[in-house]
Amino acid sequence: MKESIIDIYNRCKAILNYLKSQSQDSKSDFLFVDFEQILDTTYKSNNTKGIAMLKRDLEAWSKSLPKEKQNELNALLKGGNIYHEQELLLSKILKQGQIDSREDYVLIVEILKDLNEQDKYYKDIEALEQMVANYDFH
Amino acid sequence: MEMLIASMNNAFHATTQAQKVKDIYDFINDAIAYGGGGQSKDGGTFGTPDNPTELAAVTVTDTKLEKEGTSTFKAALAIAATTSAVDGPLPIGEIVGGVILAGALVYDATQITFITYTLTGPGGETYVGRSSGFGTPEVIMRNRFASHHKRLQGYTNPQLDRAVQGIHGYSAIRGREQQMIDFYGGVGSSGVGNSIRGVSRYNPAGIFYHGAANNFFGNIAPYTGWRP
Repeated sequence: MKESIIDIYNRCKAILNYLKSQSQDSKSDFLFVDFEQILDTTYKSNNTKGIAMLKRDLEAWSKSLPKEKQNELNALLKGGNIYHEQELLLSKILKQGQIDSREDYVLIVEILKDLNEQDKYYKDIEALEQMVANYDFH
Repeated sequence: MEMLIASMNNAFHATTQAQKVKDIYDFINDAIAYGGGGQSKDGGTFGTPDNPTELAAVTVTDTKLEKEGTSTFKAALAIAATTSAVDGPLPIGEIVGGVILAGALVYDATQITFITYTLTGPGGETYVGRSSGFGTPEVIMRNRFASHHKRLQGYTNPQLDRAVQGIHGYSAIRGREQQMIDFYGGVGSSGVGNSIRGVSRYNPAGIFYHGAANNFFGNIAPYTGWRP
């Protein structure tokens, strides 16, 4: 079932609050405050496309947490695995063996930038990069 | 920041065309004040990716932020990379091998490190990318380059641009990546190998990433992202 904008907003808030709680640099707290203001504005203006982007950004941002903290965040969130959508896409692309739409291409390029050694799909980077290169060629 | 968001809101909700134009104009001015940069606006100069020393010395955002009264962003200046004490302790917060590392005073291998880097294409074009990981910036870049789709297309010469450590560094690196793409001419220009922007034109957080990059690394290109 598709998430409503308020569900996405609440999920974003929860992720952001958790990230803020894990930041070890109190001098950078303003970053979380400012992001929250943008989130609020985007929600209030009913910008569904915008809030979906903010959600993807926060999911990517949360990958900077140590794995055990990512698990803790997942346990706190309503609605399950924070990386569910991303994993569905990666799983689909790997199964297909190719990227077949511009939309998927853009998402995969973004995901690759945020994959680090903790990630479940880190081992698949080579295959994914090859598929991105193949998409670029045609 | 509140002022910026207020002007975005005004523009979004304006009912007449004339009001919308005026509000968008106000928003752009506020965005510049927030950290959009601009040589003509305050007489400051943009740094260049080829000259990190000059980059780190850029403080145009300081006066702009004071004008706006955003104390939170001023706080970031305290941790921004500087070259003021190049003979002091290395590596974080100083230039190492031409790379400015920002965001912490002591390197901590247990914390995430974000980087931006460049690759050079067969025709001399520049690809700008970002990555992250738990090693040193050099190792993170090498790992990224090892299977990079651009390498498969003939891109070579991976060069570190900037690095920042800690989870707060995500936003600054997002902004830096886009500023670097814009610095080299933007997506679609002959000098740039990127086929998509670092930060979508529709991303409401575009100005936020841009401001964060300004504060951590100095500004190198005007804001080109989302407008209401």
